[in-house]
Amino acid sequence: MRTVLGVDAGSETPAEAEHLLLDLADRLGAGPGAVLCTHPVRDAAPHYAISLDLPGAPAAVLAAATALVTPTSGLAAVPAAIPAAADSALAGTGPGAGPVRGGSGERQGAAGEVAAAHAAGTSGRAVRFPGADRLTGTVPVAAVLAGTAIDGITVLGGGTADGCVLHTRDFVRPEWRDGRLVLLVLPAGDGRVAPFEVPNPTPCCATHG
Amino acid sequence: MDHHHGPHEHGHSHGPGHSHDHTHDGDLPAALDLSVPDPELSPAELDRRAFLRRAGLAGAGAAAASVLATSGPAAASEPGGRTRSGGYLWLAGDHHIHTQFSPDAQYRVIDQVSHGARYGLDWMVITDHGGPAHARFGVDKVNPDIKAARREVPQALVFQGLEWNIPAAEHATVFVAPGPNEVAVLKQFETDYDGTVKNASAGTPANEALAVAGLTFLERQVRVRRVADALMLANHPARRGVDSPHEIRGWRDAAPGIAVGFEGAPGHQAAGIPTPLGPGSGRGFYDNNPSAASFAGYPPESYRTFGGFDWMTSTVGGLWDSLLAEGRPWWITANSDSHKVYADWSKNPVDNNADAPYNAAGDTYNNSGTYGDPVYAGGIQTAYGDFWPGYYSRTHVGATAFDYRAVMAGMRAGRVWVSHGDLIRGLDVRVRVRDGGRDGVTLGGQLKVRRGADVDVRIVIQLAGTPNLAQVIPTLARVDLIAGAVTGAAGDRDTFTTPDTKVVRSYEVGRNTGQVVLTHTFRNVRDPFYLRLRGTDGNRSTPGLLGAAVDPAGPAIDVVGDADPWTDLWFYSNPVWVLPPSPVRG
Repeated sequence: MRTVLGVDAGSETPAEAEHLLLDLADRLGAGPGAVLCTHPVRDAAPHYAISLDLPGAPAAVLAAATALVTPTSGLAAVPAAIPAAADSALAGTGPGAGPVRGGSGERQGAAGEVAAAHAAGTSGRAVRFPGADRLTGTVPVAAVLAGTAIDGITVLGGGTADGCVLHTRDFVRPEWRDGRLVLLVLPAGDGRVAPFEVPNPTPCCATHG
Repeated sequence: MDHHHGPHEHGHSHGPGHSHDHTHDGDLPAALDLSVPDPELSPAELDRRAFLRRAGLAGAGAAAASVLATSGPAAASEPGGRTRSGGYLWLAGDHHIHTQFSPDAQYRVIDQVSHGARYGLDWMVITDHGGPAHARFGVDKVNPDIKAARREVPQALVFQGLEWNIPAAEHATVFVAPGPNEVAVLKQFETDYDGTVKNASAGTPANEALAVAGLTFLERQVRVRRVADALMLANHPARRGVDSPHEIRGWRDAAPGIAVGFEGAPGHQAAGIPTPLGPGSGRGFYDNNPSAASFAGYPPESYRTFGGFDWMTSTVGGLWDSLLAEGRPWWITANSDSHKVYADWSKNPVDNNADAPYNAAGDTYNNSGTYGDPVYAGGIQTAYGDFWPGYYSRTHVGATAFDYRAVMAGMRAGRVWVSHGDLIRGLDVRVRVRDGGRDGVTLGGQLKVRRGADVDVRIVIQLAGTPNLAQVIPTLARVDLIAGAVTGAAGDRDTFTTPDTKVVRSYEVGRNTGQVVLTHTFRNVRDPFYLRLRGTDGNRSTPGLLGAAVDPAGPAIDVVGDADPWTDLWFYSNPVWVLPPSPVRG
């Protein structure tokens, strides 16, 4: 069973969560085998939590991670570019995971849930995964399935992606579903498919967001 | 006469080929002869009539014509060229229009209104975004511009409204009938109940309750006659997945006379035109995905349009049908959401920086509630995703007269159908008891029948006949008749499907001029049901999301970055209810 970390630092947008996720992963020495995910947390103040599956000695990783979270002041030593998260929690699941650290009860609950969901493959939106760096420009679907950790491609609205090419928009975010890492795509004309999620969705309007 | 056609017939046209047989007196040019409806004039005659209309001379021709005219056609023109059919005056309009009083838009009120009138709209609602600057300044300042537009463009009814940030949800059109308190009521409503003004956007129970309180406030203003009427319709409801089904049901149930429906199709219909000639976004600017703020139950496909229409409406047996199956009114509309018009030459004078001064006095949007007038942008703007009001999307309302109260009453009554790209020019639906000897009911209506009766549906469609604004006369390929059981109140208020609604009949039409008559009989009606219509140019059809048995040839999901609005046209009607006495009705 894998050891997966969950962190809830109250990130308000997916972009913020991704930034925190990649920074944390770097500081914990994440290699190419890492799977890093964001998760929506639908509570009274909707926000995003993150989960990290870092292959390598679980004890060492956990020690490094727990050094970042103190019971009283949450996520420590964050770089200036990342919003400081006083209320943040770290949880782990799997061998040697240890207790949840830091943060309020809600943060701890979410951190634990996202770690467990990632470990079980039930949910989580993968920002980095093995082979992700190859997914730029246009890539044949067969190469996506053969050369990355993506297990399957689902075409929204029905149909198959077999024989198609993936127009990546340099932004590919597969999701854990039933233990498989699945990329949702839409037809994009003429033997092409593109990820359902677009890189910069139209903001609501100028007044908020 | 019963036309029966299975779903697989193609190509041949039918209907009795009933074209308007109009003879006009040799002394009157066609442009002056108002018994000849606008769609039957040649382009030159139409220009001539528009000129006469603007000069106030069209009416003189009408007086002469009424002396000379013999039996009128089924759809007759009123002075002003509007169509009266089925006993109602059908007025085309748009309830979702932005101006320089919105933080993300740019046009003067008169720009939007004069364009809308030019493109044939009879009524428009100015709906600038709610927010601190609008609540303090904009709601007051826009009013003189609206009053001026009413004077300068008398052929259009111009309502003042706003785009309400519904607490805990998305946006909605809210508007009131003109009167001495129109500004005061809108200002108080916005100040006390706007989600941005009150910092109440998050989807919490308290914020959901604030939304309901706003609607009951509007209801009270009407009851005490502070305004003569008020309406609310939710805009682009599926766009960000934050209008949960239970919230929609909540608005409807809290104020059924006020909250009457939602947009069946969003505006921003040029947004999917591919780069470099267009914005290259999702049609309707529907390019979002599930978020921490969205209703978890909405599937990913709900965040995209289908044939330009919102998933809630386009899915047969989906959310809209699940509301109709409860036997309670909920209507759809289609509007421009016009902020910045595709290929326009102008731009906002400060590029929509709400803190940038636009004049020497240092006025900004945030401290004055408005921007300065648009300026020349240096070339056509292909990143804009909207059309002018009336250019592409139209909401047609059956009104008893050309006046503000009648338009609002017609909307409340559900005498509404919607079109894109002028796919069709007229729709008359009559549902009556066979041998009942009475006229029956039309869109939005409830036909009471005895159990076991046969019910006849008669649909008269005025085909396009003249080019739309892409200079093409669109062909109506097919019409679908959709029907579903009325099963009563949903046990789960977050339900967004109903199993009993499906396409029951399809008619192949394949024509673009004249009139077509379609009929259907529901025999031996024993249980309450509703029926509604949909039609298409047939260019993009695919089995619906709930399967081919429910919807064999419905709209296809739009491709982000590649959705030409002119090649995928649909019209939708609102429903008619058929109600035998039944204990099931909830």
